[in-house]
Amino acid sequence: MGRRISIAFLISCIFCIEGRSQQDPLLDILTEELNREFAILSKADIPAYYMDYGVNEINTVSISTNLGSLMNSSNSFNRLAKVNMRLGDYKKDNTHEIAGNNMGAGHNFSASSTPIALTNSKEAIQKALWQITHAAYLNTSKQYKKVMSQEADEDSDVPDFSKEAPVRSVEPPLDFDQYIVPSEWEVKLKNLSQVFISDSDIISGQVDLNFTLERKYFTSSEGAYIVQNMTYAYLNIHAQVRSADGDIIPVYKSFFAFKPKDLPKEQKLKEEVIDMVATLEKLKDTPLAEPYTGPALLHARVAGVFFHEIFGHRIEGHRLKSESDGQTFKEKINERVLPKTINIFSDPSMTQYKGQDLIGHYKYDDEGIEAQKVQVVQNGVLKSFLMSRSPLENFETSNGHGRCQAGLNPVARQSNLIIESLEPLSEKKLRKMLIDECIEQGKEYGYYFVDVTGGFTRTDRYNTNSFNIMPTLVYRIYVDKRPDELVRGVDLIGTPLTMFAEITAAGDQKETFTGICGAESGGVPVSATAPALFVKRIETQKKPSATSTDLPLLSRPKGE
Amino acid sequence: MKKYKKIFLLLLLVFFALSRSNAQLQVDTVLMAMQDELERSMQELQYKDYEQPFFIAYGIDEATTTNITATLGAVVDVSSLPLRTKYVRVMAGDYELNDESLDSDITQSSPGFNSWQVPLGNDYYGIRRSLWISTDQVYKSASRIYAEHQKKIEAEGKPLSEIPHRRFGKVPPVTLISPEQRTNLNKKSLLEMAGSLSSIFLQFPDFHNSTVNLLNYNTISYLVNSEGSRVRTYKNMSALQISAAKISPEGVPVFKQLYFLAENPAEWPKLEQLEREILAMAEEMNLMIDAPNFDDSYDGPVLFEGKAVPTVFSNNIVNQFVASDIEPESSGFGVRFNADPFDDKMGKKIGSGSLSISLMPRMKEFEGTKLLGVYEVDNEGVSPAEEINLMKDGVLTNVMTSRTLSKDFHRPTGTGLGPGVVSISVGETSAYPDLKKRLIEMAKEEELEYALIIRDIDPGRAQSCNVYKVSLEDGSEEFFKSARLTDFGIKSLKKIDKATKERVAYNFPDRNAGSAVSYIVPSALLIEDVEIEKSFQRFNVELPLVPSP
Repeated sequence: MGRRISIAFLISCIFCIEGRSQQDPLLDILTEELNREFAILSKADIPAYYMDYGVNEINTVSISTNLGSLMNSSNSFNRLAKVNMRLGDYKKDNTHEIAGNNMGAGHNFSASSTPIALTNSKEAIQKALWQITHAAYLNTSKQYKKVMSQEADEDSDVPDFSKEAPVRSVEPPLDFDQYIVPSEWEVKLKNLSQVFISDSDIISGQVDLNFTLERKYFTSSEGAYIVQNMTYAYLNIHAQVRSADGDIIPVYKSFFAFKPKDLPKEQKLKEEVIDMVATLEKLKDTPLAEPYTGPALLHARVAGVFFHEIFGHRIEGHRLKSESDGQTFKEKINERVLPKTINIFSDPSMTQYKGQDLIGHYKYDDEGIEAQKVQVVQNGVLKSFLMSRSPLENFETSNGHGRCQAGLNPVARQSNLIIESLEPLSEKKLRKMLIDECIEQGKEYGYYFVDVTGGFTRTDRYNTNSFNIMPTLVYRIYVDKRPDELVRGVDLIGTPLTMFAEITAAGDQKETFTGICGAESGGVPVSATAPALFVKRIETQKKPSATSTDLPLLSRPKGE
Repeated sequence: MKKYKKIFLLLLLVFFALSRSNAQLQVDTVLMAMQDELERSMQELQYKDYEQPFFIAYGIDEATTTNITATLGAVVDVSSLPLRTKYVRVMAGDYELNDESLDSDITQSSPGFNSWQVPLGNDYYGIRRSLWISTDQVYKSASRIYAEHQKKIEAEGKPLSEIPHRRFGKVPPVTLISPEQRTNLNKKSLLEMAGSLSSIFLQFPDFHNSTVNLLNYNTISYLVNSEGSRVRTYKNMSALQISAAKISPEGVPVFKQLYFLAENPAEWPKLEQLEREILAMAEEMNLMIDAPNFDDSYDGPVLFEGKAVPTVFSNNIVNQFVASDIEPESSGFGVRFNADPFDDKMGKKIGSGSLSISLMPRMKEFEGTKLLGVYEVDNEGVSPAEEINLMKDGVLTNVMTSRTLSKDFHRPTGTGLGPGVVSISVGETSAYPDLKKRLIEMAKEEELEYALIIRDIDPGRAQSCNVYKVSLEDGSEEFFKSARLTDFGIKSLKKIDKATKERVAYNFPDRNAGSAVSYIVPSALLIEDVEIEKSFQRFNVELPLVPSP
């Protein structure tokens, strides 16, 4: 059996090297060095049973403006190579969790990595790979010795690394310069940020653009090789206003497209900025909200962040394997965890939702596995987890969600999270439900969370398993038909299981929140598309106060 | 008047827009924005019942750092980043007592909070806005702190002259608008150079790694203050760093680095010369791999030669010649910081009677070598004297003093940008062969088994050095690696015996990126009592299982 696998591997290897040499020179260099290293390290005293090399070739333009001034305009191009090495075997290797280690698994999130030549210089690149491979072998062999010195644990039946069929795909390179002319964007962004200067209480009005073309290389000792291109254009608008009481109030807007040309047109962006200025004007005089518990409506964008934080992080497979994690859903497969009208899936293969580019899209994950749609919740019942190549009981293979930032090792992460309601209600109906529930609970008003900057959550066992969502626009909706009242200074907080039980209804319009999610494998682009939610009971707490500042003594130099 | 100024400004801005080459005018825009915001702030700032500021200074550094890194013939990193940074100083009170005079319980407001960086380009209003917001924050903080200081002084119930405090030194205003002096980098040629130099290491596949790094700092510094100073200076500095590491079969690593500093890349050694230097370095590393470690403990005469001479002064001596601060209030742990201020030794003999140390920050060249530490005005708007004597014939005569003065005899020396150019001379001189003979004689007198020569000291690695043991019989030398200087400091200056008459200039990078310190030193210096021990930085590394590609 062993011999047949070996022969099959050898044949496929010869085939793929021949094929690759005409496809991408860097891939050839990576594969040649990988084969040379693996041939020796797989026969070492502590043998490597798996290796992969990854290279992130990243070309970025960053432009930053504030109140009509150009603050930064830069371009960078670099290549970062990393090695992922596993010693032992698929069943038990150096990443195996060490019992009693509060920091989690034996998995080392920080990969052995180094910048490599920007041109395809074989000598320079192979030498760099040789150095990081040596460093990786030293680290992983130490880790493996620690793992093997532990007594066998209860979960030892679950392998440490899944066996997967090798994937092979090579995309042709893209020309960075065809996507962006920085000087044109400098003018556009300056013009947009200039709009903020109209209000002297606005203390910053930044409009920034980041465009990245990333060409990702992956080659493994199992015979997989992938070269894929990814492009990201983010346009972020961030402004702060000083309130009458000296508090600093921020508002944000962000736009994403795969290509800069698909970002909103300048006129549309200008309208957005004007709208933000109007919002800032209102926020200056809004009252501070007091801590509250009661009914609330979450706008679709807020609901997206809400699901990403309270739900999404708890379905990332590797967490459910770690003794240090709260493992909220580990034993809840085929149990109802949400209202039966809710479906949730994660689909990195989706590029758009209703014409909106989805930032969480990729074709292959950072472990060389094809991106797959995962139906996580069906009619409120938990069906699956987001899996990397770190298996769980009954989830033996990856579903293409092993992700990481350049230079780190992958773990299971979210991609495009889509939340659907089987009984969608109009906003009008949701508002009515909110008011009715307020009356039922004896509340003068409920809250409507309209926009949000982001959030965070904790899933480990050593801290309260909580989440925190940071809204930027919050309205009070009064039961007595008074106009909605804008308030400020509250965060939406809670614990996940309690919150799931309070979700009562969802809206009929979905929106997408786009962001960079930070976790142990670094920052990865994610989106969350959700309908508005009506929640019977939420809890808010006061935001930490931004340092209050006096009004400047002199007027701001204008220049408008 | 204001109306005319506005019209003038408008015309000027229109002119900028129409100008084909506005680099020169852009410089003026920065200065004009700084000057206009400074004037407005001095005239109009008034916070509650506090006093108006008595001093404001603005500094802007426009720095473009270009970095090229290559290994084995290929470029690994290339970047060029323009950045403008600002410095805003707003003082409340007066020259005798102000917000900087005592330590404060109030945290100094950082201009960083809610503050904008200085925008790029020809952006008059953007630059003013950036200065305006910082000025506002620093002034408010300074006003509160000054009021606190006034209360503290009042509570002491003593005349101010009897209370230790910092004064702000008065200096005459300086006007220095240097003509434009931009260095146009030929990036293509630099990339080729990095590739070509780094490819030499392809001849040495057994080296663990090697890197060629080219760094160019181009800085325009602007300064205006309320005393009337207006300064614009240009500086370009280019550093070429070539480093390599090799590991012996026993796992002992050996590192070596070549470093060249020049005003611009054209002044680096020619490519052929650099190639020869790299090959020599590689050869030296091969010798180092096989060389024995210095495993002795030596206490006796040492002859410092070449780069080792300025390095010992740079590492251990020159930075001691700084003015002391007032003694801080109790730290709460019974420890008095600054317990032994260096300038308490003023007028006393602290070095060999033949040793003199002076600063010559305005000196541009020494015997054909450009002195890169040169500057005309420091970052506080002080123009330093042509020569500042720190030590004359072994006696301490002055210390580097900023405008913050804590002792009666302190006077601003204009050395805020560092020592600039350090001149070291020793009155007792001999020709080199005589110095080496004297080294041997001194070692014999002390009944030592050998004498030591040090030719290079690693400035960044805790006094690590390699040494040459000198036979007391025939003067022959043997190379030993991995030693270190211990306990070398001001007291060692008293042990300086003789030096060569010939003096040489060296340029070293300063702690602040893009600036340098120059040393004019004897080519060899004999010190009668120096302690050398084995290096504690020795370690072995595990050798790779896979051979180098």
